[in-house]
Amino acid sequence: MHIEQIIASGLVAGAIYALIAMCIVILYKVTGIINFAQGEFVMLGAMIVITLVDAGMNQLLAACLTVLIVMIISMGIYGAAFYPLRNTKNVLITIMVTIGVGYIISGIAQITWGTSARLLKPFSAGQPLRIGSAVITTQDLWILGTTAAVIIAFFYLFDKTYFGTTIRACMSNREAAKLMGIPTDRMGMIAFVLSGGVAALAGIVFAPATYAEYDMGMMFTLKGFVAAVLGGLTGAPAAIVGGFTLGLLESFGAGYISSGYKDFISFLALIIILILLPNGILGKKTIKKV
Amino acid sequence: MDKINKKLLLGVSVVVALLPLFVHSSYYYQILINIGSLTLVALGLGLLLGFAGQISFAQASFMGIGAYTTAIATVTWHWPPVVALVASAVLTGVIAFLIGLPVLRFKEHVLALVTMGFSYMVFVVLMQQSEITGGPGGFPGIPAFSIGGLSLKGDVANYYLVWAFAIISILLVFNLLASRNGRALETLRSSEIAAKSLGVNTFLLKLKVFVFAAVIAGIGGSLYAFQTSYIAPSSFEVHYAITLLTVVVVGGLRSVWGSLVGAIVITFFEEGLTNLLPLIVPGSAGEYRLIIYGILLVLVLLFMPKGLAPFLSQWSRRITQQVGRRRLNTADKG
Amino acid sequence: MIRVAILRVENLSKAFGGLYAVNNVSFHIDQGEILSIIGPNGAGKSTLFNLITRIYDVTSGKITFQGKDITNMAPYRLASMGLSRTYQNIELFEGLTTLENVMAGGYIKGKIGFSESLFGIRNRFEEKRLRELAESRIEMVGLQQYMHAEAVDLPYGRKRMVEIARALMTSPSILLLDEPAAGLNSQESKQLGEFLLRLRNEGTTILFIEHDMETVMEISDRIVVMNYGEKLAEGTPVEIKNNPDVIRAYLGAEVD
Repeated sequence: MHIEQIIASGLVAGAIYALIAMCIVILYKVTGIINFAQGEFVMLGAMIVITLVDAGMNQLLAACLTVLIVMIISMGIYGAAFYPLRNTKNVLITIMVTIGVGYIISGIAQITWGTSARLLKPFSAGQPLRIGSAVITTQDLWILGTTAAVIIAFFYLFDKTYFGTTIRACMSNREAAKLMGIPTDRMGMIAFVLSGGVAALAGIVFAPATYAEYDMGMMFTLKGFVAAVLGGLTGAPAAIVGGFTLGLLESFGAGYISSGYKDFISFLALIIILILLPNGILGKKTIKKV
Repeated sequence: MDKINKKLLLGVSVVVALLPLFVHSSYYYQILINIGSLTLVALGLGLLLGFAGQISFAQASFMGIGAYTTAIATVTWHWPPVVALVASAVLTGVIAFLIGLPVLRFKEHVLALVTMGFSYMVFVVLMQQSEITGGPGGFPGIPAFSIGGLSLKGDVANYYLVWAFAIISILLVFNLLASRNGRALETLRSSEIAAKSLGVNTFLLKLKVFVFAAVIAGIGGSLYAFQTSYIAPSSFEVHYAITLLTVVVVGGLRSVWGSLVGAIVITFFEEGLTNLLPLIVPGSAGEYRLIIYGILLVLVLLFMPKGLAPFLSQWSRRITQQVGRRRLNTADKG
Repeated sequence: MIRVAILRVENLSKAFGGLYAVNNVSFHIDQGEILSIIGPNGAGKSTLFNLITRIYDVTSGKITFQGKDITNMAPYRLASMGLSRTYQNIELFEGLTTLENVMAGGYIKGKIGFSESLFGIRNRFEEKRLRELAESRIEMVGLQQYMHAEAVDLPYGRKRMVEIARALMTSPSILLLDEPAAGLNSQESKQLGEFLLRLRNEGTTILFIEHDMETVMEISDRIVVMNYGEKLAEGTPVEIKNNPDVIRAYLGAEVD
C-alpha cells in the first residue's frame, strides 16, 4: 500500500478517535471519572440513526434527532450511575461502574436490534477523491469535516463563551471552581451530556464506513481511551493529538507490518510511548504534595 | 494466620473433601470445578487489587497463556502433563515479570488501560498464530492431567485437582499476609510514600505480587486446559478479565475469602442466567445476560463497595453475639 | 567533643518549571544535634525535606549522609541507612491498627523474603519479634491504650505520636520531623519537646521543621531560617532571635 493511502486512512480513523478521546478527556477533567461506556454512545448514535433512516426519515433530520435522543439518554444515565459517584476517589469503583453501565447499554442494544450487523448508506453519493495514490471516499470527507467542525465548535465554546470558561475552570481545579460558586455537579452532567452527543455524532458519521453492531462499543471506548492517554489526558488539544497519532500509528502498522496484528501494534506502541513519555505526548508531570 | 481463618480453611477443606459423596451429576461437578477455578485465578487478582491497589485486566490473559502453554506442550511437543503444568507456571511468571517491569510504574487509569491493552495483545497473538495455537477455531485434544502413570481423568479427579490448588493458594496468601511482606503490601494502598520512607521497595513488591498473581492464573489456565481438553482464545479476553474483577469486587476486595465468596456468587449467577431465566421469561437466552450482569455490577459497586465477604463476617459476628446474649439471659433466669 | 557532620546539604536547589522552591541552600547537622528549620509559609522547608528524603529529585547540589552521597539514591534505601521521617500530612496507613502501623515501620528489621513468607517459614518468630519491638515503641510514646484502635481514627495529636513511634522502628541515626507540633496544644507541644530531647540524649540526631517558636527556641541547638527558598540565617536560638533579617521576615510572628 502506498504511503498516501496509509496517511489518508490514518487521518480518517484518527478523526474518529480524536472525537471519542475529546469526550473522554473533557468528562474526565470535569468529573474525575473515565467513562468506560463512552464507546457505547458511539454505538447508540450509529444504531439509532440507522433505525430512523430505515424508517424513512430524512438523513439530516435523523442525525439531529439521534444526537438529541442520545443526549437525553446520557442525562438519564448520569443521574442513575454517575451522579452517585461524583465524590468518590476510588478509581477502581468508577471504572467498574462505567463498565457495568456499558454492559447495560450494549445489552439493551442487543435486545432492541439483535446481533446482526446493520448498514447505513453514505451521506452523499459521489466519486471518491484521489490524492496521489490515496482514495478518499465522500464519507471520509464527512468524517474529517465533522471532526473539524466539532473541534472548531469546542475551541469557540471554551475560548469565547462564559460557559466554556466555567467548564475550563472545573477542568483545571474542581475544588476552587466550587468555591467560586460554579455548580460543579451540574457541570458534570453537562459535560456528560455533551460528550454523549459528540460520541453519537462520531457514531453517525462513522456508521456508513463500517457495519454497526451492538457490541462495537467496547472497542471504541478502548481506542478512544488509548488516544486520550497518548495525548496526555490534559484537555481537548491533547485528545486531538492523541487521536490522530493513534490513527496514523494503526494505519502505518497495518500497512507496513501486518493488518492482522493491527491492534497488537497499536497497544505495543502505546506502552512504548508511555515508557518514554509517562505523561503522554502533551502531558504534564503532577507533583504530589507531602 | 489467625485462629478464625485457620478454622475456616479447615472447614472449607473438609467440605471440599467430602462433597463428592453427595454430588453425582457431571453438571454439578462442572459448576464446582468452575467455582474452584475462578477462586484460584481471582485470588491473585484480589491480592493485587485489594492489597497492592493495582488495577489489572491482564489476569485473564495470564490464564490464557498458561492454558495454551499446556496445550502446546502436551499435544504438540508431547511433554508429560506435570512438566507442562510447571512450564505454564514458569512461562506465565516470566512474561508477567517482563510486562510488569515497564507497566507497574503507571498509575490507576493508565495501568488499567495498559493491562487491557496487553490483554488484547495476547488475544491477537492467540488468534493470529493459528499454526501454533489453532487460531479462532481453538485448540482441541488436550489430554487429561496425569502424574507418572496415574491419569486424573473425569469429574471427581479434576474437581480434587482444582480445589487442591485453590486451597493451597489460599493458605499461601494467608501466610504472606501474616508476614512483614503482607503488611508492606497493605501499606501500598494507603500511602506508598510512607512505605518507601520505611524502607519498602514498593515497585519490587508490586512486581512480585503481579508475578505471583500471574503464576496462579497460569496454573489455573493449565488446569482448565487439562480439564476441558479444548480451549479457545475467546475464553481469555477482556470480558473474562472483567468477570474476574467482578468476582473480586463482589466477594470483597480486602478479604482473602473474597475470591471464594465472589466465585460462588458469580458462578451461581451465571448458571441462574443461563438456566433459570429461560424458565421465567420463555424464549430468552443470552440476550438478557449483558443487561443483568451490568445491573449487578452497578448495584453492588454503588451500594456494597466493600463486597460480600466483610458483610457476611459482620453478619455472622452479629449472630454469634446474639447467641451469646441469649445464653446469658437464660443463665440469669435459671 | 568531636563534632561529626551526619547530614550535609551543599548548594541544594530545586526548580519546578522556572520557579526555584529551594535555591542554593547549604547547611549541615552534627551527630547528636537538634537542628530546626523555620521560615514563613512557602519558604521551601518541606521541599527541602522532600529533597533530602529523595521524594523529589534535586535540580542541582549535593546531599551527603554519613559520608555517603545520597543525592540520587532511591528513597526506600534511606531507612536502612539510618534516616527516618514523619510527614506534615500524617501519612498513617488506613485500615491498620496503631500496632499494625508501627509494626509496618519494622519492615527493614525483618528478614523473611516474599517467597519464604508464602510458605510460612519462620513467620511466627519474626512476627513475635516485630510485635514486641512495636509494643515497646508504642509504650515509649505512651499510647498503649490505642494499641488496637484504627490508627486513622485517633485524635490528631496522638496520630502524630504514632507516626513518630513508627519512624523510630527503623532505629534511625537521624529523625526528620515535618511540623511535629502542628495541631498540638501547648501542653502536648511541651511533652513533644521533652520527648525529642530524650531521644537526642539517647543518641538520635533530630532535624525538624516547625512553626511553633516556643518549642523551637526551647529545644534546638541550632536553627536554620529559610525564606523564599533561600537560607536566610543560621545560628543558635539566641543569635536567631536577635537577627534583624529574621525579625523582618517574620513580621508579626511571635518571636519573643
